[in-house]
Amino acid sequence: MADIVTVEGLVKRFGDLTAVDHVEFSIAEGEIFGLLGPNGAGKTTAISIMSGLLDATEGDVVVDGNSVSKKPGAVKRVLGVVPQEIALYETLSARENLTFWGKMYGLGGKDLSEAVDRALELAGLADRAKERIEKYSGGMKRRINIAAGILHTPRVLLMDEPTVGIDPQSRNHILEQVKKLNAEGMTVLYTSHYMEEVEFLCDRVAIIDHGKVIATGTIDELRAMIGDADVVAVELDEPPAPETVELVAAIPGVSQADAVESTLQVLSADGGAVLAPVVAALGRAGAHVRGVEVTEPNLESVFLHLTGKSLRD
Amino acid sequence: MPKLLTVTRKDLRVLLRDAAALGVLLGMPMVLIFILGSALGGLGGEGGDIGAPVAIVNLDTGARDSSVTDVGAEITSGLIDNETVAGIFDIQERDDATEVRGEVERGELLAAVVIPAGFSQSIADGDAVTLEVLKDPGSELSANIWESIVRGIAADISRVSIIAQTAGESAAGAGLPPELVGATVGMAVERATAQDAVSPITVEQRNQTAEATVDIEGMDFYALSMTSMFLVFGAMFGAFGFITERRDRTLSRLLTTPTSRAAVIGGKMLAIWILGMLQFTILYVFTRFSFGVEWGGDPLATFTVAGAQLIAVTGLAVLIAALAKTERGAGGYGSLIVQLMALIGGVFFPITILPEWLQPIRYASIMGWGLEGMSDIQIHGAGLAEVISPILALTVMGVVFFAFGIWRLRTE
Ligand SMILES: Nc1ncnc2c1ncn2[C@@H]1O[C@H](COP(=O)(O)OP(=O)(O)OP(=O)(O)O)[C@@H](O)[C@H]1O
Ligand SMILES: [Mg+2]
Repeated sequence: MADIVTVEGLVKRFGDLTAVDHVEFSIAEGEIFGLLGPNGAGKTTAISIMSGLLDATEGDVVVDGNSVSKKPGAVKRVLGVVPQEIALYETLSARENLTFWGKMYGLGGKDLSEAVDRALELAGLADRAKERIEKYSGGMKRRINIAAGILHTPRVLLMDEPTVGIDPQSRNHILEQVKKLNAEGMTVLYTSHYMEEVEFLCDRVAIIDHGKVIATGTIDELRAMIGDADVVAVELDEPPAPETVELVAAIPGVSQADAVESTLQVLSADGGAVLAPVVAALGRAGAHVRGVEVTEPNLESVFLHLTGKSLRD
Repeated sequence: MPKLLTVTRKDLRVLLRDAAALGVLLGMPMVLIFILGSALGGLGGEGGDIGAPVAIVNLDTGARDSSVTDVGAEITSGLIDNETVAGIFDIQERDDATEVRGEVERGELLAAVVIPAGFSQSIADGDAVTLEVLKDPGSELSANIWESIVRGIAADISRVSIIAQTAGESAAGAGLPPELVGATVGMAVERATAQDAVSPITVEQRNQTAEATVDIEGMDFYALSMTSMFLVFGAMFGAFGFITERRDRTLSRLLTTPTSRAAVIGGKMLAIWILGMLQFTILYVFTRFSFGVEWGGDPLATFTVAGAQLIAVTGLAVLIAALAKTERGAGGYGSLIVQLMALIGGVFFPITILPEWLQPIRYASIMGWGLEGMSDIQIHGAGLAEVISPILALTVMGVVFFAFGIWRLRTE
């Protein structure tokens, strides 16, 4: 399918800091595209440029054939944006908020009231629509925050970490909602630093760190970057010393070893075979092993493999 | 345009749910007008003063040189023959100033004027002279009318007496036939105004009450000044509106929708202006009917001045929003600006008690201009045409504040 969003050589500098560093990716119409990266990677900055809030230092974003730097108005008409921070009027009710945002997206009359009803239904909050937002729980606010971005059924929805800081139940609700919207034809850019979410939702993913895209592809393509390896996760009772990690990395059959807090992640073509030597080496180094798990590689291990650090520190 | 109005409606809704804002914008001025106004001038009905007794005590016996006008006599006859005085008051000529002062103090007389001994001679000698106007502070309005009539007559007579000394000295002075005196006076008045050589008689007013140490005119004064001041507090809450939206990221979010920055900012500004007009209307109606405050005979002019004042307030809101990063900061800037402007704008005391050279300082204040316009309408019966300068000045102020503000205003 044709690309509806193209990000071309995007750079954003704040003084000396390069928050977005020559980022490139494109999103096909109908896709859920993930932008996965740790805190401070530059996800929000990239979304802000895409939605016309910030000017790029270099590069451009083209949405549905229109450049955001030259025709921000045209781009904004195609987009729906769900900001990372809850951006709602606390003293207005959910219905009042949604009605207002719907109007700002150009809805009116019957279309508007139907869209608001539908969004409230989708958020599962139709029965509490008259309550002020300030009385809502964090999870409920999040749902209305999302609802406000999809009222006008945009062709492209930019979602910036829409599930941060909420309970698992609300999170599942939101993920299902995104799937449903996508099934109805909405193209979604979904940023997150939770690899589970991205693995669950996304067709394709760009992994971003320090403003740079370090890998792009489908989930399977990204997993394949580690090769046909197993991931051995060894849980210790305290973070291992760097020398200990080096010791493990030097064991024959181990292709890479990285510590994430008190977990040591070991990559190997044959996880079963290196298990014993790894545990033995750790014992000699004085580290206490509390548990060992051999798994298939996931995006977390891909990120670790590429950057030597965890997504979540 | 429709989106601008959507923003306005949303902002008005948010503001009208803000109990703290409403308390400051409406509750506080009402309470202050009531307290200050009734401490310094009662709530007495004004209608009852028609036909109220007033007195004139003329202790002046004319100047030594009989060719100089007897100013005391002129003022006395001027007051007694004055139609307005006759229509409103029951005027008596009296000789004992002390007795009259006592009667005003006890409320037996509504007001009085005392022309001191040697008044004409002092004028002839070129000395500063003072008329003593006594008022019962319980009847503000009619006492104010009394005072302004006395001022008017005194101003006229002071011109006449100067002519008598300057132009009249060489002429036959006292011996002229009445028509000729009239002509001479007419000419000399023209000359005097042209040369701005009139030395006006100072009219000193006294509220005859023990507590009335401050020289202020009670409810009517405070209704205007407090309303004027609290309108400017609207700028602070308007600035909060910008800052809160910036903090809560709704401002950024608005700018991700297909809505121009101008519509967003314009919509918010319009909300500040409309809220202010609402505030003004409520305070106007409330003080008019609860406290019997007279705002003057031309409500259209009064509301136009208020509207212009609110343009300045709206511009100021944008400026404060640009200067302050947080609501706290805006509260700080806001109340500082309001207090400074109130102080120099004549909110706490009539500007006329400042030395003359310092009085123009009020033109740096929104309230200074607002009060100038509104009190012209209230006291001097000015209409729209006569308050054009405050209206223009306030509008210009608004534009200047806005220009500085919009230049620095951050929207994310
Ligand atoms: N307005 C700004 N001025 C200066 N630096 C900024 C600004 N906005 C973002 N940054 C910096 O740019 C970098 C990228 O920030 P950004 O918010 O885009 O990261 P993120 O990937 O969204 O992180 P998170 O997962 O925490 O939301 C950070 O180092 C941040 O401090
Ligand atoms: Mg972010």
